[in-house]
Amino acid sequence: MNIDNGKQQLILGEAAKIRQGLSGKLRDQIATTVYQEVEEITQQVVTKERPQKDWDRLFDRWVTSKLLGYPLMLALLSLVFWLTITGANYPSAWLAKMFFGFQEVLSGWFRSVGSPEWLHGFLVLGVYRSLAWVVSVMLPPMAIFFPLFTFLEDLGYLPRVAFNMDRLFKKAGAHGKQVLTMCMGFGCNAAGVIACRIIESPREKLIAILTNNFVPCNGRFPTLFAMAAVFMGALVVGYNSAMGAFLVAGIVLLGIIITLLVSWGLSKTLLKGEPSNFTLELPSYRVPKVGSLIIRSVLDRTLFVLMRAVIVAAPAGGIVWIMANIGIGDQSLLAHIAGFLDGFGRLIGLDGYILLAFLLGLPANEIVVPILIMSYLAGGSLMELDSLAALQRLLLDNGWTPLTALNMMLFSLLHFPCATTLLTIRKETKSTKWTLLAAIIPTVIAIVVCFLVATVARLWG
Amino acid sequence: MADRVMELNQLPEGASGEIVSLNSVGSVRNRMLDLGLVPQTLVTAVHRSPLGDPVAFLVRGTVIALRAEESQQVLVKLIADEKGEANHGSNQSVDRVDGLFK
Amino acid sequence: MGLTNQSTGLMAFLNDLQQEAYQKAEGLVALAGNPNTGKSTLFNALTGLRQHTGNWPGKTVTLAQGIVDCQGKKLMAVDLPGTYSLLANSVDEQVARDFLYLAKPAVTIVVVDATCLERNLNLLLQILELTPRVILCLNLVDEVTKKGLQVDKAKLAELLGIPVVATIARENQGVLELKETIRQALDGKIKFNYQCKSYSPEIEEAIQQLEEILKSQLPEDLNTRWLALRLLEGEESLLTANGGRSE
Repeated sequence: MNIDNGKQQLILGEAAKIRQGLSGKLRDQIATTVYQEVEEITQQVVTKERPQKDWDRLFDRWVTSKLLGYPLMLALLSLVFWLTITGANYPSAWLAKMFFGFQEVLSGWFRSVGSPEWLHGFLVLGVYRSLAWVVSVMLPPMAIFFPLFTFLEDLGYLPRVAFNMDRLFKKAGAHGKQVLTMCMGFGCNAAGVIACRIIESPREKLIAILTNNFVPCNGRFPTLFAMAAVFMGALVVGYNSAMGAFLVAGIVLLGIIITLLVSWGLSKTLLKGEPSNFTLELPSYRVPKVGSLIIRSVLDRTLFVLMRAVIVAAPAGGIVWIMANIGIGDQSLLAHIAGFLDGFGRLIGLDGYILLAFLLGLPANEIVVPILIMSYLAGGSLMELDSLAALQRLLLDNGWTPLTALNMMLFSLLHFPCATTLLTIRKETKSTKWTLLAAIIPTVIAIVVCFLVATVARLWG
Repeated sequence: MADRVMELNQLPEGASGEIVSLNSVGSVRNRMLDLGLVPQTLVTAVHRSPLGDPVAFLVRGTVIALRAEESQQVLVKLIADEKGEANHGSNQSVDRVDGLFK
Repeated sequence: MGLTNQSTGLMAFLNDLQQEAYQKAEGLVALAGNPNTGKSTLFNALTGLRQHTGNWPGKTVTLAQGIVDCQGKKLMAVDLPGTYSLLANSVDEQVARDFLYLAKPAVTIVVVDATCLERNLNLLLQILELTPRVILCLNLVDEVTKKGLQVDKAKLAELLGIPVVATIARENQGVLELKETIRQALDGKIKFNYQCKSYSPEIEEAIQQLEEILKSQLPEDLNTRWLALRLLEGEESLLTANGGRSE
């Protein structure tokens, strides 16, 4: 079906002429007529049988109350983290034991068929070991976190969070629905960036896209959880997972504050403009069906994110092993690069290996800690890493302090988005400039914050 | 007895009003019309968010949150106050005026 | 502008879809509805496709598609973005509108939350103005009684002149009946007699004037009344999106 330009112009011209002859606002009259009909129909069709307690309003009175709205959000956030950390501990340790036990078996096979040492090293010590780490560390927390999160989502809690937070986002010149995209970002920042489509104003959409990275995605939560344990474990006697949960919640809160500050900064500089209109439905609460919820969150989210991590981790593990075993002079390539980065790393309270791990972790944040461990392990003898306590020992052996763990958390929270997210931003914004900014802004902030924390810590001694 | 007309965001929590006029323009106006915020519609302010803005309104069976910028553009006539008591005897149910634009 | 980009993107999508639909399926069914009506859940129940659903206002931005088996007849179902309106205030609404207008599905299922009909009927009536072949799906009927309400399904069907099916999508209830109804509609066993409301005499006259021009200039199978109304509102993209730009 084709309409040529001449016809188009003719029709549009006629339409404009007739439109000018109309008195009053057409859209208003249409809306009024339609709603008049709607009312006529509902009056005949819907009857209120008996007045019912309005549970939605009762819940909302608490959930969005002046006094309890914010504490409740924080409490729920901490609860989700606590359940995730506590629940994931045992299965994680169990999976790690199994995988590293199997590594011995694998190594045995390789030896028995007389494979060259480099092949064994690349495949088993490189590829397999990083896979084992990624699965054992990521799968249990995700299998807990995603269903919990999906539960809150299906319950209808998330629009309430957006409702509670909107004022802050308005002050920052951003859109209230940005909160919803941030919630999505908890799962995966790439998904969060795609979710920004729900924001209609292009300016506010860009703000939401550029700042989505400041909510830690699921690939970074294992890092945060592990670092929280290391940090609190080294600092506090009688560490327990509740403290870790609070620390992680605090880090997330900081991410939200940074999001607001950066949104505000952007809306005052590069993305100037007035907040656009905001209408948000607060739907009825609905008790989710737990069965289908678990199936959906495990299939659609957990396995999806895990598969992505596995695909990236396998080659990355191999590459790190090669880098750790190709020597230039008396040092490995890995040690050379790490040594090169070390000065800058120490300046911001980290070290060369950590920075290298973040750089190599660009494809996916999940593999930052595995790479770091591999790098530290590559120097020393083989070691089984079957618990957080072992991880803590390894890190302390490599000169870590609580400050290192804290800055590692901060850097993980604030640094550049992963490659998938950057590609998604490129796709959504169709602009190289904004994609670059989406990488540069967080990185600069991460460096500045870590530097400040390190400096303050040094001054304090 | 004068009707108490106010901006929608002035409506106290729990009070209901009948829309008198919609003053927003452009896309905001269209959005409001889609939500059914046409004159003579009954609106109830159900609750304020913790920081006071936005406010959630019950309109046509759904709760919709509006920022002050939007709700200021809607003028309402007070029908029932916070306690749900009718304002100066007018009936809480809204009678339609027939032939709106004949 | 972006408007045309959007539309050409949609045209490409429709071309792909139609090819597939003709190869595999024997008709096109669209699912429309407000956000939070359980539309995506119903879509899953109909197609068996896995897709995430949730109480997330306006989440389904991409158009999910799947095959519905209606008693042996395989149909292509498309899950439109959840919108409150069809008047193109947002990209979502525009996609939903353009899809219904351009793809001309054999049947459109409008999913409504039975507990707040008043909110949901706005979209239904707007869709009925565009295409009369609509099946109304009253979802979440279990919550109606919980909220102390009663909805007269038969009366609703009578007033609207279209079939009405009650469902509880997440319990998979009523889905079979819905499939049967779709099948009957495709077999021509159902009459769709929604009577479009009339606007004020002044508007009606304007519509009539423009419709005459449209009828003389455009192919026959278009809904000229609906198009005339949109053009009077200044929605010029509808004409240009029709392929006028496809050089």
